[in-house]
Amino acid sequence: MDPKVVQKANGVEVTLDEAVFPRPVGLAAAYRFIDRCYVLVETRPGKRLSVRLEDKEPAAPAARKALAGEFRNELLHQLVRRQVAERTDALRAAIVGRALLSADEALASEAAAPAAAAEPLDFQDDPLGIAVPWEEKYGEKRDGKPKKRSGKPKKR
Amino acid sequence: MASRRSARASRRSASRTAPLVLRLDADVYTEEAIERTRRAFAHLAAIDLRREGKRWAVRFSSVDPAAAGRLPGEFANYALSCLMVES
Repeated sequence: MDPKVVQKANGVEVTLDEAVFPRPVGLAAAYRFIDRCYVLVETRPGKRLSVRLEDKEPAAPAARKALAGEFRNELLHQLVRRQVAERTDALRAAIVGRALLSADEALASEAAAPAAAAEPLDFQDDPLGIAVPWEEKYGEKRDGKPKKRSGKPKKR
Repeated sequence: MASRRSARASRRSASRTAPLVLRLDADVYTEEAIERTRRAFAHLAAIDLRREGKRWAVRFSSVDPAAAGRLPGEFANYALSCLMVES
């Protein structure tokens, strides 16, 4: 069974297969225990990695067994974390790239400039005559033609 | 300043028993990580670093008695954290 756990006098030794748990995963899991244990990592023949967790304070055998279990859980956690990180690598790069681009003022103003040039309209302009009252537009006929107005509405 | 002086004094008065030795796998721990750790722990002991085959031998002498019991373990932990920062 992998990883293999051996109880020691002052801690536990967990041996893992690097083909299953790559070295960065083993190191990251071991790192999570440095507040509770003295951690020593060594290579073993056959692409195996040994992680020795020594108690900082004297502990009961049951506590050591729990420690080994927690370490195995942490290994799994780090393995999944790594897999998710690999899978979402391109997405994270795109998000960071976009954030950096928007943070650069020169690039951001350059990107906004064409939009500003295409819309020089004032808010009071009315090129389609939408603001012109119906009576003014069609109501009064003097010489048989509807009165035409300029685009700008009356100022009140 | 005073604390440094007292640390030096306690190191001078440390017992002259066999030096503590920690062996770290050179395949796992990089020289940079161990060197950085050595500098961080320099105020607690005189630390000598040598390569012995596939391992780094870290010898602690003139150890501060207050830290003697924990020194090799904490050194290994710090080296591991340096390793994580490097990667």
